[in-house]
Amino acid sequence: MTATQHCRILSLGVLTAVWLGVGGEALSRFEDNWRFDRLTLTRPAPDPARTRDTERALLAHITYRAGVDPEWFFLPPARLEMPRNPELQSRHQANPKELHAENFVWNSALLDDPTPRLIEVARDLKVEYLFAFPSYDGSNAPLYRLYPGNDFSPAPWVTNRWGWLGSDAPIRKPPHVVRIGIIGDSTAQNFIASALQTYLGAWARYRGSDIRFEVFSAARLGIRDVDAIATLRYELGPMGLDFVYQSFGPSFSWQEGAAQMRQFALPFAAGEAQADHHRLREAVQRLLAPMVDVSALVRRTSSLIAENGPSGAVLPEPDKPKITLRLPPGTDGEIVLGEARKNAYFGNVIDGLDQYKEAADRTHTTPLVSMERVCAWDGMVLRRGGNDRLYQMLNGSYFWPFSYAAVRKILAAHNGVIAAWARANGVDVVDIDGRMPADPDLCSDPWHDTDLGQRMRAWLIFQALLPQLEHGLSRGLIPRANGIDSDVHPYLGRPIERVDRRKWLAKFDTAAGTQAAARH
Amino acid sequence: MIYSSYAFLLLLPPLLVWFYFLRSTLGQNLLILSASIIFLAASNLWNLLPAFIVIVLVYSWFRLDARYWLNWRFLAVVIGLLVFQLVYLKYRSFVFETFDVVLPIPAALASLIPLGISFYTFEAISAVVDIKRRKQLVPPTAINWPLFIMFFPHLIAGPIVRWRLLAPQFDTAKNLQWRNISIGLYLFTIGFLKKLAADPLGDLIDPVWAAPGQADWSTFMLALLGFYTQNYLDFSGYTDMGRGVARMLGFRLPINFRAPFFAHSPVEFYQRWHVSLSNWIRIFLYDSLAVAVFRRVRGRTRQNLALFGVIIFVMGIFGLWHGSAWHFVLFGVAQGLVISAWTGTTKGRAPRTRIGWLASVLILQLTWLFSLIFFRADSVPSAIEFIGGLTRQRQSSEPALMWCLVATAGTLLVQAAEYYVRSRPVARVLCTMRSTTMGACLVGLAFLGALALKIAIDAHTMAVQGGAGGDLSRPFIYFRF
Repeated sequence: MTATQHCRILSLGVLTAVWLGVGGEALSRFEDNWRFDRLTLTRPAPDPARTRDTERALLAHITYRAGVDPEWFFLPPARLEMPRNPELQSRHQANPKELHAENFVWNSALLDDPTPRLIEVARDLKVEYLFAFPSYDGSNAPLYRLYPGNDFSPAPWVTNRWGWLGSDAPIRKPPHVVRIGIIGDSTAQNFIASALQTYLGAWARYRGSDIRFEVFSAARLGIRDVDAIATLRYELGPMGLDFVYQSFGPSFSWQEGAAQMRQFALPFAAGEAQADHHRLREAVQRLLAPMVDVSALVRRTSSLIAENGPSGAVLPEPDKPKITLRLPPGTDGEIVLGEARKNAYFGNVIDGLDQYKEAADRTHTTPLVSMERVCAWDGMVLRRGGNDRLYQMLNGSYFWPFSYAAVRKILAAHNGVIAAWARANGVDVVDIDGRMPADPDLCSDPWHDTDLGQRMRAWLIFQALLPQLEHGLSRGLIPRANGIDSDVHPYLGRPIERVDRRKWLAKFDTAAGTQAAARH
Repeated sequence: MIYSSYAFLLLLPPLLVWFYFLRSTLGQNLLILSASIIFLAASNLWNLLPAFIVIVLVYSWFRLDARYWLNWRFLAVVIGLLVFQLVYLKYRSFVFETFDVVLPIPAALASLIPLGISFYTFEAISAVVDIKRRKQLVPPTAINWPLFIMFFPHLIAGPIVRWRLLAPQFDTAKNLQWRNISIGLYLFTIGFLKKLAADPLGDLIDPVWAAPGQADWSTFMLALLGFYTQNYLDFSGYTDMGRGVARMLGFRLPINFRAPFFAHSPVEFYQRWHVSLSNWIRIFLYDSLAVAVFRRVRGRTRQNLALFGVIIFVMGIFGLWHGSAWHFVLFGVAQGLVISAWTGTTKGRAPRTRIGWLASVLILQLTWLFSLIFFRADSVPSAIEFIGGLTRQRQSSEPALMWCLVATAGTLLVQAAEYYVRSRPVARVLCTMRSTTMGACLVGLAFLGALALKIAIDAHTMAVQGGAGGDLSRPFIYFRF
């Protein structure tokens, strides 16, 4: 073959690659309905009239309380504009993939005795120093809190003066103000507070009441029960909350909880943790991950390799090892709390609830618990292009080898235990899982709601609160005063410290080196 | 992957460029074979398995037959195995429903009806018979035989091509001829426009067919007319596109539709509708059975009666070819009855007057129209329910269904023009025009216009439905066959 022929083949190859690349990108953007005028993949704004119709239809399923006007659902959210901290924004720009961990204010007890994961996170952060707060009670709970003025854009959230999402309010509680706190994990670190405040405000206006509502969400990503309880006790407690609502993704969704739950899947050997093709899928997705937010073609390729189907195609549940689900005594069918408590996993769940109740009692707050939700139903139909993330997570390592039906069964047991505990302790339950429509389009992944899902969750909390509000207001039990005549929060008022990241890391690197040398 | 999808339209130009760039026969054949494999595997990798089995089985037989001159029993075994695979993969549910026999199958194949299996099985059968009869000149090779089976322009919905017609075309390298590109693009554009018209019709009528117990007779008639037109536009559109793609690559595939709605007898109808399947059925099934009848049955009346039985049986098979359910068999049997009755009453004579011709065309189309009820319904009870609905009093029809009337009238007009033009010198002029530079430019413009129309329709649909649309083309009706 001559040099000219080589040159021709090369040119043709390049031209073909350009044609397929540019054409494929344009085609993928068009077919998958991404905007052409933005580099980052962005959906066009939906038709408001159509969106409203869809929302109305869904709302009809979840509006169950008399006297609630569905139109309140469509009111503009409460304005919660806080001053943004520019320093935090520049730190975030340097660490765009760290889920705002660069601006977390770490518990000093945790920094003194860090977990390997924290050291790993700190090593990846591109910041000069870490933020830290003095431990409230000497323990490492909560692991961290959010910095005031932390801008979570593109999500429209800026943390208030206490580092929470929701109303910005002084600690001193004015009269005629009902305060509601939300604690939990990432399932509540979102719109819930502002949506709930909007609905409650509309309800108060409808009643002609002079009551005002302030709702704060002190929930934060990836925390444990003990962290949420410490948040309630030390951070929210002094605010004079009238109600507190707790929201978590079920703990069996987490690695440790999942490991505990796998003991009920028989027979299931550790080596069977995940089929090889799932590992391959995840590896391919990791490889393409840096480009999936800017290229529709890469996103589509990633999905095609992972799921083998065109956009809009049904994603069938993959074959999984055959297991028999054997739930512990007292959790399958009728729940017996005493029996359930003997099991490690359910015992943890009940202990967590006990501690929550105790913390609420100690802060004179009325607690509500939430039924936890996992978007998995037997026979659920997921489609590529809309439910990819949900599909990947349900069929990835977290839930392996549980089928959708098995996940639902475990969740039923988990929620059954919560309901039984609530009955036994006289605590109101918000039945999020039972009342939300079984619609995968309301879930961004197995645990988290889409924007609409969050507003619907807030709508359910709102309706669950109403009887207690009516009762408390009519008897003058709420709003209660917090008895604080100061502007200084006893725990959050302490100054935030700055810890030199390199020096802090060096301390542990040296310690690890010394230990390694000693071992040798 | 379907021809009207954007993905196919994106991949076709580089394929053409590389095809004509390669110039060598082997290079071009390998390229087309690779493209065909990708085309078949695009929707499901398992689609390749039965095609691979057909290729290996029949090619092994070819080699052995060429060397040892195997007798006809071996041929019967090969055909038996081909038919067995077809029945096993496509007619499992039919076997289960009819004989209550569950055929065991691996889980990966359980929910799969391999794409185009009916088409390439029939092609393979015709090829082995032709080769055994020494009716061809080109010997099968390790390249041209897989290419014949998997050649993507006829892979999924025909036309059913004979070995002797296609194999010689794989023997010569194709040079770029703008005439081929122009004519190919012309055929493709015609098919593309037919498909664009067929898809909205399907969206309109599907709800009526999905609930046959609810609508009144006028709604049913409109839905029936809608399917009558959609079926033609969809199937002939797909064949036109396939022929167009083949022609752009320098290959010629036989015509499959010739204005079928203007046939004046059932025999003529099947020379105009899905011509390749009709010919296959006639040559490989009907002729053999008819000869056997004439040999074994004595007496003219008996022979005629036996022949009618053969027609009904063959048409029953024709119906079953379309799908593994009894309603398809009934569709075929209904067609068989029409052919037998028609032949019996007219003695095969064509109408002599224009009014007679018009009446024949009308009656024939009405029989076709009503037999389509069995074709389109999901099951026999559903078809009966639909027929019952035709007697239900008029309530209020969905106004949008009136588009079915418009589409049918439009299709009939276009076919009338095609019917008129095809038999006159003006056809030659039009064909010549397609090959000129001006004609080619006009064809190119027409295609771009059709593409712009599809983009506009899809963009509108996405805007109305909201969210990601994916590929909005409906799958071809004949995909399932």
